[in-house]
Amino acid sequence: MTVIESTSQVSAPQTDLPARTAASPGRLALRQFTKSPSGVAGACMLILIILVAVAGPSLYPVDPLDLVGAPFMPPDADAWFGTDYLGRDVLAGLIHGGRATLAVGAVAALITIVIGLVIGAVGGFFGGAIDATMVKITEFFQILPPLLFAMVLVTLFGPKLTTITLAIGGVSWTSVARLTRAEFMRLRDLDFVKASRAAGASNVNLILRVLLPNALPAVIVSATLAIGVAILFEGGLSFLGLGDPNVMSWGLMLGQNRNYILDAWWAVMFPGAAIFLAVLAISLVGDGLNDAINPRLRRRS
Amino acid sequence: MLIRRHFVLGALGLAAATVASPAARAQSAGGNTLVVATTQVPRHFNGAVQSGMATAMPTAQIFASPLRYDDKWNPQPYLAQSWEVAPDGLSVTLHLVKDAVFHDGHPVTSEDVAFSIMAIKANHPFQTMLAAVDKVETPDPATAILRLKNPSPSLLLAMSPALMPILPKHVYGDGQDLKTHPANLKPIGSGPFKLTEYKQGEYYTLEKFDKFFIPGRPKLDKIVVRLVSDQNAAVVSLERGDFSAFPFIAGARDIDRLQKSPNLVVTDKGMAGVGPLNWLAFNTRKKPLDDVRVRQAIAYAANRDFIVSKLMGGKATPALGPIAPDSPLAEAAVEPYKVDYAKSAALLDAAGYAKGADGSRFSLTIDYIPGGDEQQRNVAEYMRSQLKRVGINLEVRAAPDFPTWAQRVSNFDFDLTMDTVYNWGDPVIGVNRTYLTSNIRKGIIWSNTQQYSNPKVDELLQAAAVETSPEKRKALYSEFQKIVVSDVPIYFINVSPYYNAFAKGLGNLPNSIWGMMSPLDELYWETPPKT
Repeated sequence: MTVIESTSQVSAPQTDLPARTAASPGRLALRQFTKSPSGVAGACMLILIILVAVAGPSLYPVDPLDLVGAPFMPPDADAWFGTDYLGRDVLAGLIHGGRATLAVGAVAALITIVIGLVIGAVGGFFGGAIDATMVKITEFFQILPPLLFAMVLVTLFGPKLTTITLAIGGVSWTSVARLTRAEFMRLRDLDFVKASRAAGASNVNLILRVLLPNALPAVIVSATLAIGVAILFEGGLSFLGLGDPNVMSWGLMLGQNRNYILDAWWAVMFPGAAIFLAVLAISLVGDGLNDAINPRLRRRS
Repeated sequence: MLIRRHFVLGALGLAAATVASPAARAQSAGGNTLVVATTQVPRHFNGAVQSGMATAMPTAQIFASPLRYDDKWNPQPYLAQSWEVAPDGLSVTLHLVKDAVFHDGHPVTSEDVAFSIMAIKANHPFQTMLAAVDKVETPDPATAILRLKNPSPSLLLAMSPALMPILPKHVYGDGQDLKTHPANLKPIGSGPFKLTEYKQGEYYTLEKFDKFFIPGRPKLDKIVVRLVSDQNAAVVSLERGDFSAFPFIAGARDIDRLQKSPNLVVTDKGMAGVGPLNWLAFNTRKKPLDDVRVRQAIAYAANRDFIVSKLMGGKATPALGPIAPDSPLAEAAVEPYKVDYAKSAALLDAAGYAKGADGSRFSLTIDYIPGGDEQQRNVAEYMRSQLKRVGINLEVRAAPDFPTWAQRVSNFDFDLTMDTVYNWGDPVIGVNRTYLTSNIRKGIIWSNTQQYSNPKVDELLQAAAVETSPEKRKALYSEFQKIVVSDVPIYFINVSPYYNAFAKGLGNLPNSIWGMMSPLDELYWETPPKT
């Protein structure tokens, strides 16, 4: 079984001619991914969570910021998940808040990837003084504790969902940058790159069309995990009182209700469980992707 | 017979000696010590230049003041054994006790009183408090005569321990700036306790001053005040018996929890003097809030009863007007703004803000002081959903820290804000600042940041400040309160609940109007805690 698998894939992602075999690595990776039970479970959970966040608000159109009942109502027939310290519906918070939480996670991860890719690719491709500058910039951000740095940014620009998202993205791109840089440095002297260069490809062309597609698999895994990290970050910031009070999110629910945990466990436990499940699902998907995309690792295991 | 009496006395003496010795042992083991926990961390110990509960509590122990107060707002002799207010109200004569000395042994004289009063007038943040004092004459060491520019009935309350510590002139009068004087951290006063140790941010120790001028006091040997940053941790420690007193507890859940503890006495007494009011303030010069009907509409849409009973867990007292309900000057017969959505909507319609196609009339923002969730943030969030009912979109503007909030509000960069402002006893000291047109001072927090201006209110407050007849004064303040409540520069919500918790076994709990901010010289252990 394993023998067949590895022989069938040994030449695929490492090929020097990405155009001709473009469809097959993706399909192979997908096939491989479906063979990892934890990855599939994670993907199913994630799809479910996204579905609830996207479709839920129209199916359960209760404003999560409205007071629907008395404060601290325990879960019962009127409010399935109870009410919080103001009398807001915890279920509405979970459904509507998921949207904000996932959006923060996705957008922050996107920012992480974009900044990381640009810094890492430029440094790794050009080398020399440019690389040294890029590494210095990366190191500057790396030595600052990310949560503290994000807190400073949010304090400076105000606790709004946009600033929170930008702050999270702005502090967590360093690992992506280092990863990209290492991949680019490894790839840039390989024969197919030299061939492209000899054929007259410009630097932009080389970076975007030759090197990037080959460096992407590693980055995709790290991007997936970055979503999870961003969600945790948002929770952490809200926990410290730096959430946006005008947009319900899981982190905000957790942060605001934690003082009342002895009176209303449900208002803390449900958003906490939601964050836990979402981050777990994303991690499982990330691990599954890692196994599927990285053939060397697969052969070893 | 004679012999027998001697014998009896001797036996009594012997009995007393044997009884006393275990007590003495208990004392040396700390049995006569009070351990206090507080989240109120003082910047220093000189209440002459610093307001606030954190400094007032130790100041009242370290320094004596001319007068002190009971629990019914009656002045009592303290450093002044008697006092007279001249019939024209333009001078107050203090007759000082003759045997009072400072902790360093120097006698307390009228020179010290004169120095302290002028120092407080020049340095204390409450500028209106002693504004009427022109000079202090000292005809002899035991007599101080305050000469006033105008009658000032609030002056006697300003002579409280929390507000008028008598400083030794020979220590503080050396020409250095009082606000940064080195003795502010090593204070010398004439109060019942002296400061013997201060570990910044951790604790301070007050020890009995054995030459205190009231014989037999203080009854405690030592007070250790532990500065705690986390109220939750302090509550648990208090239940366990690590502390014997925990003043200024805010938060319904903690209060509720401590009230259920069998070993504690929990009381809301002792804050009447401070009168901490929690309210919703309007920027009255900003559209649409410049229209009194809009402000009234918002007041009718808020639900004070719900806020007090539900959001604050029933531990807060509703406040209807600018003077705290515990004050003898409070007027209860003001418009209560009972919740009425129809009336609120009608007022908004009348003001010309009809509902738009989307059901909303206009948008506003609300700020709040960060940190105090129950009194501030939760009410702000609650207001958002209340105002939505009458078609006003309210956006909650979170401030990450206190300076951010203070900067916004003091620079009039706000629509609505939650705020907490203390009365500090007399309206002249802590109420006028919020309403006088002359106190609209950009950049200064807790001035008239509402930019409220009503000539009639200015006139009433000025008249009441110099009115010597208590009845007439009360009538002036009643009118003032009715006008302010109907003008709604502020929607008054509640008295901030600050409770004090004490271990059972303590006698003479500090329940006066200044509570823990009055001298604790009478506090004693009826049954000392087991060591």
